[in-house]
Amino acid sequence: MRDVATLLNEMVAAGVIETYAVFGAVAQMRYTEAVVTLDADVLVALPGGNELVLLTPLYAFCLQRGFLPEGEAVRVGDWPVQFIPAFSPLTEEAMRDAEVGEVDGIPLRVVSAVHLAAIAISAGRAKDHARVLGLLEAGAVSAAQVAAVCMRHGLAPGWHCFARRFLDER
Amino acid sequence: MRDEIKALLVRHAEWQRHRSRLSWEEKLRQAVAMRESLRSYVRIGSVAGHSGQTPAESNRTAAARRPARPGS
Repeated sequence: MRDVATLLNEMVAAGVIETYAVFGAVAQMRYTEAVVTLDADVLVALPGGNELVLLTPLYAFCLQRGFLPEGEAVRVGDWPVQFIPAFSPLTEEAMRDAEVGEVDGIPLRVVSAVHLAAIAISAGRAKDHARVLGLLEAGAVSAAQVAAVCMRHGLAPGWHCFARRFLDER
Repeated sequence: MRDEIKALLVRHAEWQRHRSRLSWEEKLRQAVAMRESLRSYVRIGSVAGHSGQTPAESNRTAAARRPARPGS
């Protein structure tokens, strides 16, 4: 992950991306115990907008440094990395308000636990619900905090569905 | 519940909390080790006719092969 952090910070310095934040399982592990995951998901803000075609310079930057595409991802050391342009006001906010963690002494921006939970609620799959439960059980975030972010981003139905199933909300 | 079983569960819960308190770096290293263990396990299965992919990879491959639905 040290190589990933270095690469992402170099991308920002070179202006290839405006900012970034890791999310998904890699971010989850900052707050809970380790989980199995195939890849590292990274939200990116691209200069000029967040359309997929604008990822081309990013892939070229990786290639120049010897990091080759692998399916939908780019292999960076031990990690296939998926670059995902921020795709909603929630993910834009998550990226903007990201925390700065550290991996082997290298700063690495990571979405906060509450945004991670809200993004999981928006996805709504079983594994996303498990992620929210993991964050709640680890005490990384409270149900009230997640609910508040969900309400702000039009995710009330998704939150209530989760709460009814797992938090005994009546 | 017998006292020794209860004590065992308490120790188990404490061990789980300890794992959560490890550094992010350490947990990321554990994740890589778990992923590679899973891959090795599946590779052994491939000798018996398995595709050699993890279940998640296999699902992705199947989804990629499926013809796109109109409007998707």
